[in-house]
Amino acid sequence: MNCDEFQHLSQTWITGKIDPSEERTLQDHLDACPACRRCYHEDRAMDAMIRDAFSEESYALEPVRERIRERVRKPSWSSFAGDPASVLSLRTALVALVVLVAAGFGNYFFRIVPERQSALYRAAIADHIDDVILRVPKSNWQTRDAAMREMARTFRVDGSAFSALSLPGTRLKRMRPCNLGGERFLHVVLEGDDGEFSLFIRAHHAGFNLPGKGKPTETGGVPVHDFQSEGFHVSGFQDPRHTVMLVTEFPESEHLQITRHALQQLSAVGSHNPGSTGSTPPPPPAVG
Amino acid sequence: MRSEVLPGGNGCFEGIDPDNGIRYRGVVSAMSTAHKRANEFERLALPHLRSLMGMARRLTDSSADAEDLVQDTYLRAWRSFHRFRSGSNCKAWLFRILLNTSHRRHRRIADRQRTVSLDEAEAPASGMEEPLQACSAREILAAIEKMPAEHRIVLVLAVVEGFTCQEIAAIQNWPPGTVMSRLHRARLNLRRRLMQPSHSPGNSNPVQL
Repeated sequence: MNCDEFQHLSQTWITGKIDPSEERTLQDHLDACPACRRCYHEDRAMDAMIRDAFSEESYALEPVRERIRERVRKPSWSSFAGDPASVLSLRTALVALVVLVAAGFGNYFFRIVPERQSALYRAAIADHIDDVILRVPKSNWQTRDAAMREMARTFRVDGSAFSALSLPGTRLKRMRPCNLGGERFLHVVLEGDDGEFSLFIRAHHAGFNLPGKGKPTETGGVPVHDFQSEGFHVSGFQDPRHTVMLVTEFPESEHLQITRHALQQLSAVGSHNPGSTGSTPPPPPAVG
Repeated sequence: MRSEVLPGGNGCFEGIDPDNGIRYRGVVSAMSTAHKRANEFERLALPHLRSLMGMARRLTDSSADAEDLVQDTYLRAWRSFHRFRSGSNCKAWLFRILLNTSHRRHRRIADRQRTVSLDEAEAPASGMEEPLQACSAREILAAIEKMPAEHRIVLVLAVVEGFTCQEIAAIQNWPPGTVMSRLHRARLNLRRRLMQPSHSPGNSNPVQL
């Protein structure tokens, strides 16, 4: 060990904390080198002088101590955040909040949204019950062919579409304007072999879509929206010109057949006569 | 009524009422727990007030500034006391906070002073052959005050507070070799200053960090 190494390593020795093996090496050098020995003893003497100088300094500690105590005792967010019981309460509150928010979202997406989506179909069923099953007297029914044709025109259901309303094996009985949850439709009552059923129709409005997810069908790819409630079947579809809903209380197979016919006939009207409007004189309806 | 703290419970306790034998459980209120924390903080941290003041005085220009620095240090320590691990070195923890706080406070002054300080620090010690004479406390403190901040800090931590090189390395985030090297230079620097016949106490440099 040379003198430079000794000067470097002796720094920790002077403060009295060093490995025994290193201490032996340092001691050997110290015994052999008078210059380092003198430095070492002077360093120790200087350290003692420094400690004495610091111990002689006096500070006004009590006011500082009191101010610190005062701040520590003062309730604050930091004391709250550092308190395990408070943190536990905060965590519990946060978990409860998350659970509540999740429950709110669940309620909205699994109850409110489906209810809103089904509101139109339920309104159609209610109208069907009123007008077809209970036959609640209402004044605005039209049963004559000319009057029905005129009424259809006000709903922008043109002549060819009006003709298409007479589905195979059914007869057009009557129609009236109705309001289904704020949406105006033309309620058309048709009669088949199993009795009367309802068809709700209106011209297609941009921005209005039937609620829920439609299922694609083999007939033209127009998706059909199905809804069932208390024995009633509702099928809705939208082609580029019309929005249609069929409500029956028939067996499912028969309901599907009627839906298929309506889909075919109305879609055919849309594809064969895309530019037609209500101003075109309609052909005579195939009533009966 | 006797109660015991549940193991691992956050301020929970349970016991049996001797009057009716009914078992009860409860949670210590937040206020009483905060009170206990404050007591624990005071018990662990306040005994080091004088040591911190000694270091703060070396890092500031006046007693008032030193008091502010120490008070600020204790407040920061109290705010993060929940992160302090029981059983670890509270004094080293407080010094680390004090030096960090001081460093942030005086960074601009440090930038102004650093060049001069380090040049001065690197200057070769003169008069090493002369024996060191006894000096008064005032002379020693004045000489220390004129030293660069790194030297002042390492000297106080090692010589006055008795921290080991490893502890100083952890407090200052320096490598242990750097601690030994700076301590050696700080001693040489101080000895040179104490041997200068013209050094005058009271004419101190501003804080250098």
